[in-house]
Amino acid sequence: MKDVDRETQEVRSYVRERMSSDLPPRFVEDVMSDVHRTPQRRRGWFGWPIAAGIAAAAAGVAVVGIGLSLINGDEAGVEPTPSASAAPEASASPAPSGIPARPPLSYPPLTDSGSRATVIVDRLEVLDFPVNSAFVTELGEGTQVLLTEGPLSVEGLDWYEVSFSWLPSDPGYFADVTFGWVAAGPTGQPATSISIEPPRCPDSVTANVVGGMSGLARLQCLGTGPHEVTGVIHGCTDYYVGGEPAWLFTECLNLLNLDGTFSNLFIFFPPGIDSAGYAEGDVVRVAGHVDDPAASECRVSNPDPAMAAVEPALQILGCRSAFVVSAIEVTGHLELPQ
Amino acid sequence: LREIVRQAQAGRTEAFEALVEHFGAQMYRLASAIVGPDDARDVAQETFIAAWRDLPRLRDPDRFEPWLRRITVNRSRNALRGRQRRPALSLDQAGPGDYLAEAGDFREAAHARQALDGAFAGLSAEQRAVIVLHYGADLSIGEVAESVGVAVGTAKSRLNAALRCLRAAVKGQP
Repeated sequence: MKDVDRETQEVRSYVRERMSSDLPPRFVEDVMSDVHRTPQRRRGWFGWPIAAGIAAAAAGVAVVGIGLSLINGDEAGVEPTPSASAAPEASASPAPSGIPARPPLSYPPLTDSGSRATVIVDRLEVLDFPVNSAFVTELGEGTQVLLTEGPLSVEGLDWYEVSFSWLPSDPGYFADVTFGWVAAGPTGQPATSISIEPPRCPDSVTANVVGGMSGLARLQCLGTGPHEVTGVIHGCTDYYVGGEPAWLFTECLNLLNLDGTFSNLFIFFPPGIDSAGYAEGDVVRVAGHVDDPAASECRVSNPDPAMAAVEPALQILGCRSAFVVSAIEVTGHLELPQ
Repeated sequence: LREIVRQAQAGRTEAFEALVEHFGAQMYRLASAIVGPDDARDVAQETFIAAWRDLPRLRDPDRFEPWLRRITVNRSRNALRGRQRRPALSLDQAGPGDYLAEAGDFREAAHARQALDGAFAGLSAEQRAVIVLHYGADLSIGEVAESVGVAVGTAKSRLNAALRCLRAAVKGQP
């Protein structure tokens, strides 16, 4: 434990050292110079004319592009942002040759499982988040995206988190893709701003595959059926935030792949299945499932008032994608490198 | 602060300038920790321009700081994405000239720093963000999740993955 504390302390010191830079000279002046040339965006915070959008969608008209053009358009003298006229960022172009080898300690790749979608309006606004959100960019018609979370119903609209720099020819490096949220259409109705494809699902399920899947892909591809994975028990880290039911917030055990690499698959023990008695290095065979019924009651214990409109629903999405243990057995033990 | 934010939301540039002066260094350091000093200035500058442009959309002026932090993280993430194809220097790839020649503790410290640099370079943008926010800015996991714009569980798993990578680098030192 002391080693863990020392290592964590070294990590903390290192990170703080990275944050020790001084503000460059003339920073404030340069920012303000740009500010004076930049108009504020003074229409709906949502990036979507909600009433008009719902009404028109109900009439069977895809109006998202129109709505967005109003928002980003010139009727109030607002200049379009540079990205508005830019080519789509996620054209399905092949990955450039000579891609460097991935660093050995990198995050496991996000598999390309799940639903892809194509933007079917002229311009689709992407926000950091459905609420209190900043504009990220716009995607042009025809842009392909990967849906990674959702749908999240907020004030009458279904929102999806999308990854839009994912390249089909790339194995799916999760590290540096861009994410944002888009409004797909009125809640519970067919999407009007994107055309959603049926999900693509992996042929086989392993700890690494499940760990690399987005939350949405897990729900789409794994359903409620049990799936068996094998991995190596790894320890846990204490966190400050909890929720109910407590067992869905106890990420105390995660599985390593059999080669010792990180799978990012956390396993959750529901009442009735003992989570104790496993040692770091135990090789385990786990039968598990997603979309546990208890997820629908999942609540974070310290909800953020500023995110009241979305946090409960988003938390339920996160709980639904948790891999819940149905049965587990130890099949061996590996000495993990110290 | 709330009143200053409100004035800036109403379009008063002098109020926004006060916000830039107040939060500029903090956001620059955050960006610098995630993307490195070379790109941090651009990221921080883009952050404040985006904040100015979208400030009228901020519903609750009291949430200005986390909102600004989220923009910084997102811009940092996009900046990293822009250079995702750049090869990261790892310990295995570094040439002899990349190592410091000093002896004793200093050499050990330099190797430790290099190992951490290499491990940090291997982290995803999301992992960098959560580790910097949690261990550098002392934010709780809930605050980290809000800043990154993900569910708490996602923030936790990213933090754990990042911490594991960096701790492995520390462990690897003599």
